[in-house]
Amino acid sequence: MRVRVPARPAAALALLVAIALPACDRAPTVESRTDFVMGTLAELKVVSDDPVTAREALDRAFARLREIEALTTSYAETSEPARLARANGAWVEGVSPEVDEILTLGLRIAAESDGAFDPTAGALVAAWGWPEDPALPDSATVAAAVATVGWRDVERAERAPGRIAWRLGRPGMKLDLGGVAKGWAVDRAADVLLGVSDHCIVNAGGDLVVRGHRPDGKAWLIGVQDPRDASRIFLKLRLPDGTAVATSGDYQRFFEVDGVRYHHLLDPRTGWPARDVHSATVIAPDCATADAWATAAFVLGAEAGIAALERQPGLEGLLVTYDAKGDLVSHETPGFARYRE
Amino acid sequence: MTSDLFSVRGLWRALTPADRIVSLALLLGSIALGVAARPSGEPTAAVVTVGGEVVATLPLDRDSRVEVQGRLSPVTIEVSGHAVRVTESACPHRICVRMGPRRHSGEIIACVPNALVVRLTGGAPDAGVPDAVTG
Amino acid sequence: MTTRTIARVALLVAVATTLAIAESLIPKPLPWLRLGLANAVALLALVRLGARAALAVTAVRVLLAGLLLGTLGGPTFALAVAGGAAALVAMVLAARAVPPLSWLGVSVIGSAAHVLGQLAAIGALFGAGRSVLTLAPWLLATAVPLGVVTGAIVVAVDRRLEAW
Repeated sequence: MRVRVPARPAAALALLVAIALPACDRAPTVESRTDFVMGTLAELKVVSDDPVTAREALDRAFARLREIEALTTSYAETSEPARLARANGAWVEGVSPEVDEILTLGLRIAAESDGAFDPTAGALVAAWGWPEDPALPDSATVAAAVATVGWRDVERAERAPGRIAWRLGRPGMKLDLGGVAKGWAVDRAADVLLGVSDHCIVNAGGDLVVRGHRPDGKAWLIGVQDPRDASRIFLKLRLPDGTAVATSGDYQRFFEVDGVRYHHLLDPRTGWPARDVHSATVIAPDCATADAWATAAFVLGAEAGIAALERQPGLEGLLVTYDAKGDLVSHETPGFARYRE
Repeated sequence: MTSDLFSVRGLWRALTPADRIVSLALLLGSIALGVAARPSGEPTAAVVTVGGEVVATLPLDRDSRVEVQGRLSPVTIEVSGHAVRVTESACPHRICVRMGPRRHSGEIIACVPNALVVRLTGGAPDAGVPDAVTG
Repeated sequence: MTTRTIARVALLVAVATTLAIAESLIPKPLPWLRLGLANAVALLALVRLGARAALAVTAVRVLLAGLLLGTLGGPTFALAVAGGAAALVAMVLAARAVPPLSWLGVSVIGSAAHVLGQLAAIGALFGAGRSVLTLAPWLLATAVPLGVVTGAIVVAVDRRLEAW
């Protein structure tokens, strides 16, 4: 049977569809980008239905990460920790709001953790040669470096609203903001992405924060690496909107001498790598806090670490030790289980 | 003469029996490879490596777009409808882009100037690839 | 090597390099079609001047093309080395069986080896592993007729170069 198709109306309909189709909203997808920054591989994901906006936001987020890195790194002449160290105890004026916030937070956590985390351990970190040339120092060098560490001996002054000055109160004292600056930068990068989307993940080398949820409506799914085998995930977590997690592990950076492993998580009170815990995973409302407390809990050890985390509102943690057979032993704060997948 | 050589018949006649055996063997070999390398099972993720190092893992059960740094230029890889493809690359011939979507386990897309390979792998059936990893 | 041989090898290197560069510049109609013209020059060197000349032509050509294209030391260069070396070794070995093989057969073997060498490099260097085999079927299948054609070109050129 031959059917007559009225030509003009059909053409008009086809034209209408052709014009309307590109205007349809694309389904929201996860736009992600990975790049090296702050000495590690950072992966940023943002949910968006417009790739152009998403990419531009990712550009700005990475730029913000690099900006914060430049301000807070111990390893550049122009960074603020370097300026403070060179000042040799004199007041340094006009400290950036970024460093001001990070240092304030770091010192607060130092107080709360009884010095297990200490942002003034720069000379100690340098004595061990991290990150470029790690090597085993002798006891005298370590003792001398420990003498320069002391979170209580840092002073802050507000000259005028927005004009902050800091000074390092011990001879030879140097800042190392590494244990908290990365997490803080992650939070700021997430703020950038939140400008274009309610849903994102910012992950810098395992320190991450999530906002919103996956496009399918479920909460973001986060894997926790097995400390004995980096290719394995031994635990999965579901993190709700506005949750951060960070992990400190003895497998992240280490070197071996005569069969003994020396890792980069030093106890600022003794000067030597903390022994007991192999990985500390902390969940917190922001990544700066998670980052610093992961280091603090690691240094405190399984028992003291869990106790300290329990005393802090809003923090949950999982500390992993090994038993005699080499199996994982988990030590968790009571509330940690609600994040398990 | 030479003009006799450059026709299909001419070329065929120029081949000695040994040549023909070798050529046929290679052709059959390529068919055999095509059959043997047939992917088995559904892939669950696309693993992206640059110079052998894994830079991204894309689960295939959800749409996503990633931009990674290749040796030469950024490369954009997209997952859509359980298939993965390279959508943008600043390499000279864009062979990787023209390879189009891949959806079977074991298939790969390679961008040589970027030392980048996208490989489809099947994981455990209940893989539930995480969105991010801490550790 | 005599001076004459060196001069001939140099000429062949120049031709091979030019062909390699030209081949990398023309837009490829199909993603995997490689004409392998530069390998044809190495085959010509093998036919007329022997294995050592062929080695010289291949090695210098790969180096020069890498230099001129700016790919030296990069992943594309690694693939060119792998493909060129594999083709060379395969052709030198195949040349020992020349009767009953003809130079066309040697060219086919060289063309196939070139493809396999490059796939092996991708598998080993870029971490693709055994999944490169999924690229092999089409590449290998097209390498055969291309090998026949480039082999025929080499034979035709060889006949014309009587007085060389």
